[in-house]
Amino acid sequence: MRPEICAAAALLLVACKTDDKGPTSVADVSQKARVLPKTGKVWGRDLALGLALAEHELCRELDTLDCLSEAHRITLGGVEPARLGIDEPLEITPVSAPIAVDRVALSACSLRYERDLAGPAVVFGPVLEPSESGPTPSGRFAPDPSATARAEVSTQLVERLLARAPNADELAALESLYTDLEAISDDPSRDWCVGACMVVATSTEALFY
Amino acid sequence: MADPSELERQAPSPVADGALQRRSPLGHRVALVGGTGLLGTAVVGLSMLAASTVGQTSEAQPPAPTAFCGVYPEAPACEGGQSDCSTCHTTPPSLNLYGVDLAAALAPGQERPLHEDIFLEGLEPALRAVEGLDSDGDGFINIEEIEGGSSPSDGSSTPTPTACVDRNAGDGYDVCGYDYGYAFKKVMIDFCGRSPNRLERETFAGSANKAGALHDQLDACLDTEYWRGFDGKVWNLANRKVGPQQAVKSGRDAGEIPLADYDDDYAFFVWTQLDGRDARLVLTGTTFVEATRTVDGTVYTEWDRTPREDGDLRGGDRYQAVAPERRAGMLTHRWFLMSNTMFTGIPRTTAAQAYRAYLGYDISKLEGLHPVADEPVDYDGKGVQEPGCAACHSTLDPLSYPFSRYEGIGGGNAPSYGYGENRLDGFVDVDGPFVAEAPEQGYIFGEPVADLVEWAEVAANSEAFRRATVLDYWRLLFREGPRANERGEFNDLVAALGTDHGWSIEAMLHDLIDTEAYGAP
Repeated sequence: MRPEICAAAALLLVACKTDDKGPTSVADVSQKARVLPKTGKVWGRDLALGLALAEHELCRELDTLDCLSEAHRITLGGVEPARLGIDEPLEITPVSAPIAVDRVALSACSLRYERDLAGPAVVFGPVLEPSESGPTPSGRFAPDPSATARAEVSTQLVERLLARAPNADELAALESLYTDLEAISDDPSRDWCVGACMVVATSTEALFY
Repeated sequence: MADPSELERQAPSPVADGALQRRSPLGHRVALVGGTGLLGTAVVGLSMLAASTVGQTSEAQPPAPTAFCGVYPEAPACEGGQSDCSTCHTTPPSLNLYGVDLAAALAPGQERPLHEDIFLEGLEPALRAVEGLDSDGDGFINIEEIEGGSSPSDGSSTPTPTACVDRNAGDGYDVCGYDYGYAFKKVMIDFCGRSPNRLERETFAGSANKAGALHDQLDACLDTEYWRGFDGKVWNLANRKVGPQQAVKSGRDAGEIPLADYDDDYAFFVWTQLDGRDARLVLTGTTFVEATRTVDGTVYTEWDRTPREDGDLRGGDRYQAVAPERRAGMLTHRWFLMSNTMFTGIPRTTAAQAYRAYLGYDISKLEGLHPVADEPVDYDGKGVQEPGCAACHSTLDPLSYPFSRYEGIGGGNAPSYGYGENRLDGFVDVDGPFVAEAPEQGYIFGEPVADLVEWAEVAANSEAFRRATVLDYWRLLFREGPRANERGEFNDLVAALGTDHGWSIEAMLHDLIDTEAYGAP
């Protein structure tokens, strides 16, 4: 992950969790507190469906191993009884699991962005509208997303990946990521799209149930 | 309160240090575990005593766990009639924090090790005396933990409070009751393998009959490849029963030494769990099942061939070699016999795996002990009559005899992976002449059985089988066993599997998703 996205995403996640009154911070109190991680298979399927990608397209390590069914299968809660003797999911989530999740999400979100850029767009369309400032030196029309466009994309991401409408705090947090990136990124539109997608795809709500 | 690390230091191995071993008042070796470990001495000593004196009385039981449950019959830990060793021990004979407090209160002033009568007489007063203590210092006194189903010796284990307050009512989750929206999402993830999309969630939320919609969704998910297909959820539920090893697999994806094909086992297991079939077939079935992967999903096809017919059709490294009248579900499958019996005459490992995988009792953890009179006989001269061995082998050996006519890889007087009445004759050279006298008749749960077919029938109709079966699915869905306040719902499922559910796993699952354990966030 590019460092600027990483830093911005981290800030956003912290912001999501520490708000005083925002709905994102209102953690209902469950006696059972039985929150389970989705297996890589389920999470990957959710990600693929949400981003309109095929499961096998999501991520490949070294361009050889499928991330979810091969490379990170055990790390993300899978089993492999016949060759590795792992009959059940590991009882404790390995420390490498967040890294695996990040890699899959980054790959999938990047692919969605590239596909949307080539068109027709599925998720990031509103942000990819050409700006009125003309082409960049490379000849590309650089997107210059408005707050409205970012809100549309943010809404799409939450609806597609979390199956619900976003609330105002979530929208504000996702949109504000662009401001942070603008100062440090040479392609803030791209980094914002991929970053916002990663933030939603790797949120607690997306990973656990 | 005692420091656990200190307790471990006070509990040297009774085996390693002969000076720490004594004869019990009745002549049985017991272990002394230091100044505060006297209860451990009594418990282990009496457990061994009971197990090794059953030659005189088959009714004898290891007394401490049973006696504990005599005092606390309603405790969740006593649902099976006996509490677990871990109630008082870390690894027997070492005591845990609760055990240490209990030992100090047990028959004070009496010479150690305690005589059985004194132990049993003193146990209840001692239990009562430590009820008000908080042995593990977690803020809950021992009696609260015992009645609440948590461990009185584990500070991280506390009783679940019974009162519930939904502090954020209206936030979309009903944390104090059954929440259909939450249950719907779980059903989709657990059984369909994906989260519902927004349209599906909203459609469900708008349903006038949420209960009906939820069960319709479950039915739809139970038909998905994710749940019932090759390498699906039910398929992988069999991993611990089958114990696959690709290196010795035959058939599809064969290993370097193809001995048997565990695809037969997986396919048969999944088939018994689907479409309302009788789950007991895993132990009593006499047919086989082939799983075929098609573009429409995995298709399971039942087949029934004699060993010769199957050999002609599938070849020497795959055929099922047990004749139909000797079949006992997965217990007589080629893979099971190959991987467990292998080259042994009295196949104790095979019986222990069957007991563990299908009935939930791990004999190596002293679970499911039902000592049989005059056992173990030790037909194969393995030394199992030693007191330290007999405690378990008085159950395990008679449990194993019915398996002794079924050949593993070889060594006996029977075809590989097949049945032979005189199989043990082939082991005389290795195990001595007495081995041929081992009976085919055995015991399970203290009940005599004529052969493995009868063994399997008793097992399949037992409460232990129902409990183990429901627990498999419970753990699959919750990734843990039932918590203290969920045991009622769990026990209802166990009871209903053999009655209302008609032994159908799917019927049981329909009831399971209706539990608060499943549907309350």
